[in-house]
Amino acid sequence: MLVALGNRVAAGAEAFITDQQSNQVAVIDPDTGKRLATIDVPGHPAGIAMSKDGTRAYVTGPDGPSLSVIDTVGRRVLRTTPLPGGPLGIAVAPDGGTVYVADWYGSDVLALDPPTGALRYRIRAGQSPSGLALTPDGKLLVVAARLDDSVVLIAAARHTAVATIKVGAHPFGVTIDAAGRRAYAACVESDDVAVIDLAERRLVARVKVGRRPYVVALTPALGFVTNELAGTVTPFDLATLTPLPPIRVGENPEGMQPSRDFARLYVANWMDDTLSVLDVATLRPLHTFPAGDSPRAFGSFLR
Amino acid sequence: MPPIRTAAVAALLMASPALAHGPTRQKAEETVTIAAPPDKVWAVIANFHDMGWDPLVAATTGDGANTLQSFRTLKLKAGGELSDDLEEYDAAHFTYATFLPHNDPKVLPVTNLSTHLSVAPADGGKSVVTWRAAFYRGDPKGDPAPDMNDAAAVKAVHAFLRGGLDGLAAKFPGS
Repeated sequence: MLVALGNRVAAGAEAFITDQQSNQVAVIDPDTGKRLATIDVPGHPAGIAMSKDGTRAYVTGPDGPSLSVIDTVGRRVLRTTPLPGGPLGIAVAPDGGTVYVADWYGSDVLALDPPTGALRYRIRAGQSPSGLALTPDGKLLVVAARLDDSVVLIAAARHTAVATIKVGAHPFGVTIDAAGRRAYAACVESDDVAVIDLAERRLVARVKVGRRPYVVALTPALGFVTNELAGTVTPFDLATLTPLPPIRVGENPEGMQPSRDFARLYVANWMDDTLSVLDVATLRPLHTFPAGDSPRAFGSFLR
Repeated sequence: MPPIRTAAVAALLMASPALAHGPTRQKAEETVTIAAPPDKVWAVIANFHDMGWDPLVAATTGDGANTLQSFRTLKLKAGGELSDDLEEYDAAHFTYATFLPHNDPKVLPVTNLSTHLSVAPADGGKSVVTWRAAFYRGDPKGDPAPDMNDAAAVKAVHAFLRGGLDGLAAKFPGS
């Protein structure tokens, strides 16, 4: 079906799912559920960031504590580097030049050299930094400072915070839209999604969602959030910022990402050990596939 | 990077217990088969505010309503209290879910414990009761004491679930 352009990108996709309890990354075809490979990764892998060209996946091992670099084509770990603290959230710069890792136990984001994992510098971010995201131009690093109930904006080139924006309680996952205009942070303890205008550096709205929201995914018209305690995904309209009825997925859904053509949404269900596939057009579940032991997939996991 | 170097680093990490800590959520599951149909078993556990079926619980107090975000307080026979709330309630499918937002880790060495309790039919008119839990250890920060680490949390939750289910089964002769 090479002519079916809309499906082609999605059909060629691979999901790299961090299976925290089995110390593995499962490589899965997210549209058929077929297990393509299993890669051993130490440290109870949780966070993942895919390079823009899809050739490298950077994975945090909070119990290492460590960073593992995966050759996604060769299906192997190139290098595992010990890190300080509790590395969890992770993002890679759009140009591939820097990997950012949040130290959940501390207040810093570590800027690492991607090929070697060497620590280049630390960025002061706020208490218990969790989710990380970069604007498409790589200039702004957005950090969910969980214990500060804040989202911190960091000028990547200057390694310093330029704004701290109060949001709901305990923000965890943070996602930026394709235009680099807005950031969305899932606030676990206040059951809402904070919407932030990045140019104006202000909170635009708090969208009420389900119980203990973790991760936000964005398509052109709709945002989605995994409600970890409710076992659901809540869609919300990005223009009106109003929530739609929740969609039932598995128990303890966490990591979530749309296909490149935005037709599908892939959700890792931690308790059920599954990957849910949702149809974005109809907002209905299409498939539930096995995904390994305790999948978290916290970050960008598709190539 | 030659593969031998990666293996060496992995071995180093495995061999260093002082480094073994991290924000890793744990899960536990216990089941019991009961010699009674699901509706009879559900009738015993259906009231969120009555944990009289659980031998580890001395008393339950709450508002009596099986409505979401309703809180109950469990007074434990071993000492201490746990206050959890109702997160999901589905009488048609014989299941409810709970969440323990704050607790004294000395009473139960966990944080953010959520559970699902459900009854399903089994062969011969019997039931299988499943109690699943998701939780973090008692000290979620780095380098926890041995009684507050992941292993202690997993052990305590398994014992908590097992004790409850065994007590429930004991209420049905022949289970």
